[in-house]
Amino acid sequence: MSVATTVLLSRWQFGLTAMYHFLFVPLTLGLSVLLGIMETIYVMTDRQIWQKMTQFWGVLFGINFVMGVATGITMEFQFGTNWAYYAQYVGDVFGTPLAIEGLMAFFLESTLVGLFFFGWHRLSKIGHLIVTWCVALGSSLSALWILIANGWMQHPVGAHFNFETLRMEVKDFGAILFNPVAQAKFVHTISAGYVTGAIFMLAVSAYYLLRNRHVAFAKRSMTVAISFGLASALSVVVLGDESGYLISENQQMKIAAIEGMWKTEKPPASFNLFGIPDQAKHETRAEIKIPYLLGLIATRSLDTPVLGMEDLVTHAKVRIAEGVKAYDALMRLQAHPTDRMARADLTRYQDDLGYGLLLRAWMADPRKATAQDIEKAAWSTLPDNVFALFWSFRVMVACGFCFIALFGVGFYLSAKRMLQKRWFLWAALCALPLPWISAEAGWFVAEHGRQPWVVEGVLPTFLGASSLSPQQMWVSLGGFVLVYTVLAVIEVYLMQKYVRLGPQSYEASHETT
Amino acid sequence: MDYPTLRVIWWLLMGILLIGFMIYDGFDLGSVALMPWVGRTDIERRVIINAVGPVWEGNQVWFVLGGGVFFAAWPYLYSTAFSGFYFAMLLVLLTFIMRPVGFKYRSKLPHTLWRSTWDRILSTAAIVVSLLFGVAVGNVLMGVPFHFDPSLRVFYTGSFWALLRGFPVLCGILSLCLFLMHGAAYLLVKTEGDVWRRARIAAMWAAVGVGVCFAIGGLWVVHLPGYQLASMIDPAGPSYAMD
Repeated sequence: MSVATTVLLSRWQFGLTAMYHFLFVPLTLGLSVLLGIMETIYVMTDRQIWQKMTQFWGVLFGINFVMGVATGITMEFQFGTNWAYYAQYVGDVFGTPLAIEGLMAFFLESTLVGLFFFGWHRLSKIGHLIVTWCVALGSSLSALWILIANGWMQHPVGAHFNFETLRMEVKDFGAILFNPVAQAKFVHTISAGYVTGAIFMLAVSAYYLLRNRHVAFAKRSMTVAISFGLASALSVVVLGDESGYLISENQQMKIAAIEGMWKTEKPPASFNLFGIPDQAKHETRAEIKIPYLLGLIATRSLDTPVLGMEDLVTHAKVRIAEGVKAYDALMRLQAHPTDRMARADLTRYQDDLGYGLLLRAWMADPRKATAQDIEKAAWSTLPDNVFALFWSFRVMVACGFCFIALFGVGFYLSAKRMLQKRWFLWAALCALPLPWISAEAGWFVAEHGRQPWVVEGVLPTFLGASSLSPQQMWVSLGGFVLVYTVLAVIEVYLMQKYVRLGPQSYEASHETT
Repeated sequence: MDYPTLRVIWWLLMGILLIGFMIYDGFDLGSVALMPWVGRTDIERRVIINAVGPVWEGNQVWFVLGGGVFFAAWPYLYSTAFSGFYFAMLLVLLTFIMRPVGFKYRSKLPHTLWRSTWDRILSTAAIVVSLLFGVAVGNVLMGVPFHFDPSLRVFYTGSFWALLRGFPVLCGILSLCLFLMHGAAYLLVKTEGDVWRRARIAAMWAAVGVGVCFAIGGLWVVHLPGYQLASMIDPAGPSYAMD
């Protein structure tokens, strides 16, 4: 029982700290590129206002940036502190992109971010511009490596199980690198970051224009934000569709849960616009369906079925039974490492070893599983909360379309030189929280949808946790909540203070004072 | 590439990273740790922070990188150390969360209380980290109680307080003195006036501390179990038993 509590608390701790981390990351991603764009215009046109803009948005970037750095270290630590078995089981694969991220991206970003703030008077114009772009490049590269690591958890390619070391090891690093899921996630995530940066700049500028302050400054910022934002918003939706297509190939349970689809429909499946998934009764009530849409998104064909959760559970039962055979072969190999038969069996069934391990939630030895146990384990392949998944996905998508609409209208008004329409400014200001809501919802879909796996089909989440006591977990979870809440209050306070101060805040916050 | 070669490459990389960390992060940890003594006024403390301001962020990366390399190259060590020393690791983590925030946010508001609070947090964090690194190395030299079960799940059977034994604590004080000496030397290069004079005194006292701790440690280590040469080394034996 205490193990289950530890696992649950570890999941909450990781989920909360990860979501907290991702409050800051998308703005870093987006603003760093926007800073690069504004400074490029400054260097090309030599007009002071563009330098002032870069410096002002740079102040806000800095307030946000440190929080991203500080909370990012927590993530690296937690793989070891709270997910020790996970870290050693897949560390050979998962640790590598993380280490490269540090060597390549984080190094670049962190070494140069100091120069961005301190270097305005010490570097040449071109030199400083290069620094700014390197910071932006570093942030995006950082996201690339992290998403290669995360992509592997969703779709574990290029690795194999080594029975001698009892862990996953790299077989083909190229496959891990060019994992289609990782690539799709990367482009989707950074465009989401770019949208966040653009909405932030748009909303703050709208706030100035509504109050008739810093007009020239705000209008220029707004134009940059709108053109950059429109391109990013379009790509985030298109690339999100690509992600959806790939999920449906590799994580069928995730797509079925997102859809609240319990039974397989006749292809092409319809998309649920609205519904109330009921996990106990295995049905989704009050559905409003759009015919054909899901089939087209998920399979890009008219005749391939999208499997429902009940059918996927039936498939899981078969894999669990095979997984028990793999586990049995592994045990025989541990007793007699030269046993050829056992080795052949393991090779044959090892792809299902992870499914066999699902039974460890109820018994120490999966070989003793009865048919009921296997049935129970098969149903555990459903994510815990289908309702939350169903709705987070719809919230994320709705936000995506809001962004396109907002930037589209903005683009039109900007071309007509009518950006100061008050209804548009209000809409822009109200849109401020949306990128964060959609980013958090998106991560929830990606990571909760992966449950019960920490690495899809390879290692169940409950096995990955460290051997800590629930008491230790309560203390650390409480500590995180406390420290993070205090820091969030400080961050938001500083951010709104410097937004209110406006462009002169660069002088007020100058690092050397 | 064969396994022994790969291992040497990782050892080399790890060595470079740890040395890089000691050199680069050492001087900013040391400078900031000295702040309560060397910087008496807000302006003096600002001078110290500005001396490390443009570089501390890059320096800290050495530490994060070290963690990443541990993870990738020695997952067992990484998971054993991080989960076993749970609260010690979270304490290190807390200092590494507060440092970036402190450096950046200190200057954002002009209030005296705001700034002196961040100054205190920054110097405490630097002192705690400097101490804990020595304690960690000391514990590595002495060994810690952990075991694996048949599925290679690791269990640490000590406690947080069990890490604070005599010898590791001595190593902690040694590393604190080293960092302080390093930081003071950096301030001697970067500052002048009162700060410079106090840094000079601090550097000398820290150097004395390093010498004394090192000497005691040298005598102590001879009596630690496992550090006496009991037989001739077998040149044909395995190069390293556990890795």
